[in-house]
Amino acid sequence: MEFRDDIYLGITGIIVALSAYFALFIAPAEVTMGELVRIFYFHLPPAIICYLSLLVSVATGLLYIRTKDYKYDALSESGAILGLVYGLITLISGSIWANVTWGVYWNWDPRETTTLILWFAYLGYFLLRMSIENPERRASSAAVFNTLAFLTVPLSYVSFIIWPSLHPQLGGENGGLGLTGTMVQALVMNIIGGVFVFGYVLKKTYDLRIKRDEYNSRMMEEM
Amino acid sequence: MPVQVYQVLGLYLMTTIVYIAWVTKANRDMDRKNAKR
Repeated sequence: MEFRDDIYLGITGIIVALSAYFALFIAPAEVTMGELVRIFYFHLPPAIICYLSLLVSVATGLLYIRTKDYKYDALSESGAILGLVYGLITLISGSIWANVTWGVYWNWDPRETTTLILWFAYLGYFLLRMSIENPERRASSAAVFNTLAFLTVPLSYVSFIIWPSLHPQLGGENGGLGLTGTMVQALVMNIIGGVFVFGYVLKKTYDLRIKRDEYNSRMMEEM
Repeated sequence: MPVQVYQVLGLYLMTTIVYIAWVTKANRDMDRKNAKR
């Protein structure tokens, strides 16, 4: 069965619109954070997409090392691109929230700092890719670098456990977010919407890379 | 509703929409280039 872009994108659009409406107008305000808790519904999904993209990227990078199949390298690069895009959304949305609650856009909180390190590690991944011309060496070196860069993902995730942090924790008691039933529904709906978007953009980014490879190999044959 | 909520929602949605538009156009351009060859 052929993948229908329009149907998938239509369903995704409906899910995203409904979950945004639910988060904005149905879910109640939180006791301590008030209406500002709604930022969280649009900050956590891009953070999850970022982690998910990088997980896909490192897993397919390792598969490339094992099989030397360029399709895995293409998928690995696509995942890393999305990791950078959604990592940037996470950093900016987090700093907007920080400015309202902490009074500054950036205060080098462990979660902020480790996520920034993660972002720069994957920026380095692309600089490495750009610096190597030989496709096989580029793919292998990128996969090895990716494995090391991925260590920043668990580091960013557990940073607020390792170091004292002001970053809110789900269900945490000290400064944490006490989400009730409807709030959890809003959060889950937005995460599902985000994962649907992720599926679409990952496929399209991967398709683009495959088409570029096809074009480049034809050009090489003609030369 | 605090304006920051809409700022974050706008950032998330607009970046996603712009990315989808870019990747769709880039795919279409590559299809055209590959068809020419």
